[in-house]
Amino acid sequence: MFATAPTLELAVPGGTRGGARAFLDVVTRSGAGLTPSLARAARIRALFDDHFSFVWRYLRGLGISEAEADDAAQQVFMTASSKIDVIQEGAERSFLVRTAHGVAANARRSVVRRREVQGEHAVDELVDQTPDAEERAETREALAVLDRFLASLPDDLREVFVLFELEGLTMAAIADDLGLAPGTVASRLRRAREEFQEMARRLSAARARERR
Amino acid sequence: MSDPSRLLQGEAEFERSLLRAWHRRQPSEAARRKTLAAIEAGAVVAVGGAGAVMAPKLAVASSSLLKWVGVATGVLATAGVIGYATQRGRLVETSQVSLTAPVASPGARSPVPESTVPQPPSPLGVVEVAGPAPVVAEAPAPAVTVAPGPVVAPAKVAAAAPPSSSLNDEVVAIDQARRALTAGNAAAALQLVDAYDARYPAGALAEESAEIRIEALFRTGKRALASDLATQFLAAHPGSLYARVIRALQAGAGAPPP
Repeated sequence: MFATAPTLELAVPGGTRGGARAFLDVVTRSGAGLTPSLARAARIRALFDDHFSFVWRYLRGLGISEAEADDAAQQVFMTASSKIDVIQEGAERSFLVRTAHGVAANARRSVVRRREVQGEHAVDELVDQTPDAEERAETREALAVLDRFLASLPDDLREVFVLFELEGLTMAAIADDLGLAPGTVASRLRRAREEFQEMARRLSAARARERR
Repeated sequence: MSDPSRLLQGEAEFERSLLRAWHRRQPSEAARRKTLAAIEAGAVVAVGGAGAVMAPKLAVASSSLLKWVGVATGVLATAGVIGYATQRGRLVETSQVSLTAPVASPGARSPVPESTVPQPPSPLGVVEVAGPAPVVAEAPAPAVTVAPGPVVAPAKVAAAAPPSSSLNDEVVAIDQARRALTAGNAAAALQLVDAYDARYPAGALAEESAEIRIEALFRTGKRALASDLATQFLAAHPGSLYARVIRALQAGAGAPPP
């Protein structure tokens, strides 16, 4: 009656991301249903699989250093896990974004805003992504520029810029996640983009001058 | 509210290079494991020395269930989810595998040999399912994947990562294809853009995917097909950022522009 999996391979393409989501989808389609406790556990796991990288990067975008981002992301997910029963289906990312804001604010207060700019940590976070040393150096430099730029933005502009330009969310989703009017998101995004483009123009011109 | 086009797809190369770098920024596997372990244990966490103490209320039962979900999701994702969904009336006997141990770097493959998996007693023994049990895991489908970074041989290129809407994932996928092409492995690049197009039919980087495909086809000697695709692309996207490159490829019969 019992079928034992001959191979247990959790490291599927893309890590385990999407695995728990697929599990929940299968159960939903099958019409079988789960016990509440198992459904809860599966939902927590899907929340982690779907959003951990996003939350971690978003915290970095909010100015949390890499070392602090690990703990801060953990705190966000611990909070979400403890409140999973009251998080509405479909509102998970919104909950995580708002929780990340609170966690980031606490972390910044406690560390007196130690924004990492030219961080050595960047080496570690790029290891698997960039095998080529020259490319790695270029990426580190680009990230340092981005970090400096993000640090220069007011919080309200930075949140919208990170979510739209860096994380690829739609403006409607951002409005929903941040609890803002759509026009406010559009206005903040426009101002942040102007700042970014101006910074890029200046930096690009300065580099051109250096090369001459 | 219509969204403006993203700067990542804009014409300013320097801006694009900055934004692209963002998607190379990833949490470490240690951070993933640590968070999973904390969720599992319902640990108390203090952040940043601020003494911000969490008081999660995860029950012990949930912790055990999370372990089972880790097993179940891995098996499902590996074995091919849909096919098993139709099989009912059978239960899955679970083995106890911690959520925290097997998480690998994205794209990496680290199978757990059957003999190394600790056998029950599971915390649950048999999973309790309300109604007909939905899942039976019998034989896993072959799971091959694309390692991030180094160019992969075509045989290693696989398909079936779970769909994701993340722009980050798209950038990583296209970067892999671009690296394969740059390294001279046009066949791998083709398979990687096949995988990208299948996974993101309306992807934000579809034009770049098309450009890589056309260049890879030229390089593999499929000039007629490459030229046809180039003509179609230029007709559909005359103002594309990649139009210049594709025109040059077409004019030079596959030689990329300087």
